[in-house]
Amino acid sequence: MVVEAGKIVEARVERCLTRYSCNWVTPIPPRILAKQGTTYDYVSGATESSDAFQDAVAEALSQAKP
Amino acid sequence: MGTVVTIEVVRPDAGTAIERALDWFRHVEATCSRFDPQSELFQLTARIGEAVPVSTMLFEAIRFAVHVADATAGAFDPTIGSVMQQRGFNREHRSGTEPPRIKTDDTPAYRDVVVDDERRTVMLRRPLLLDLGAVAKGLAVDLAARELQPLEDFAIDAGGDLYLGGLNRERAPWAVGIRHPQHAGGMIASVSLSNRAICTSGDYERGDHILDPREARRARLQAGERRARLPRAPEREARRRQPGIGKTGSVASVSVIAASAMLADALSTAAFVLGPEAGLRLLEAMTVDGLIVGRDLTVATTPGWPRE
Repeated sequence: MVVEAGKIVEARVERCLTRYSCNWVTPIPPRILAKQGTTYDYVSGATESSDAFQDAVAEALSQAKP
Repeated sequence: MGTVVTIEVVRPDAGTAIERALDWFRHVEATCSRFDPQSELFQLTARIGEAVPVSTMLFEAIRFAVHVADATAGAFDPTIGSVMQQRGFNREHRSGTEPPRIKTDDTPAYRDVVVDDERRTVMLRRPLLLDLGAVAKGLAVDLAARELQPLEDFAIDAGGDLYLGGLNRERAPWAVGIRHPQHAGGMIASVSLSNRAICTSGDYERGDHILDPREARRARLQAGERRARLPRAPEREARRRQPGIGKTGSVASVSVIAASAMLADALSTAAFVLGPEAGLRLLEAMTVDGLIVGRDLTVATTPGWPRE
């Protein structure tokens, strides 16, 4: 996760250690980028399994705080 | 539950309500997880042929699951757990550990779960692995929503299963996007909701994790020694005549709006299994509203689905 000037400018998976195919997590990074400009309050979708990725996002965002 | 829970309360004086709401998720997980050997559900599955008194929470979750299984003729079946275990969905999503395997009978059969309303007991007539995944998360959302009700305007997001209370910060109904099943980051539809739950079932996130319990039974009968032929129900016969209609593989996602997240979650799972036509019929019969996206991206809704 790369955060510049309060905006997520890059999201990618560095290492994939999931039991299931890594293809399953590849759609997530572009979604992270897209979501910051969303006009919706919330999004309903099938259950997200992306714990590790969520953690990475949270970690990066916490470090990005001033 | 292997998912991220977000709670938003519009007014500033939420106090400890958010923490209490989150506690419901922990409590439901601790009770209903089939991955945790300490959970009440896990312990129940170790006592076969015995009417076991269970907590109100577990009783209501199982009673609801069996009721939906009944109403959907097994398209939704909480005894699917053994099949999921065999297919490798046995990882506890939070810790990544695998629980000890329970030796179970293979055939999903919600009819072998006996719920006694008076004594508040549950009996498994034979070794079965109950999976309350589709029910437990919805139940937790509903309990959290009840906790937050006095605050009026709030939103709960449990990995895309939502409950929207009151109005958003702009004093408008909450704007909810429905994720496009094929375009990452895109939306295929949107709705404005107030005091409603919305849940979406699809196979684009965790892979093929929604199993058709009836398919599993058929597969097993074909593979097993007893090559028993199932009698063809009229619906099954109709599905056979119309390739692509009614098959699990023809649906990309199903979203259901209901007063309760538990109902929305269970019915979206069942409609996903049933396919577009039978799925819509089920949702109408259960007086909830739904949107079904086909693999060819055709969108079908119940007549009452809110228009933008």
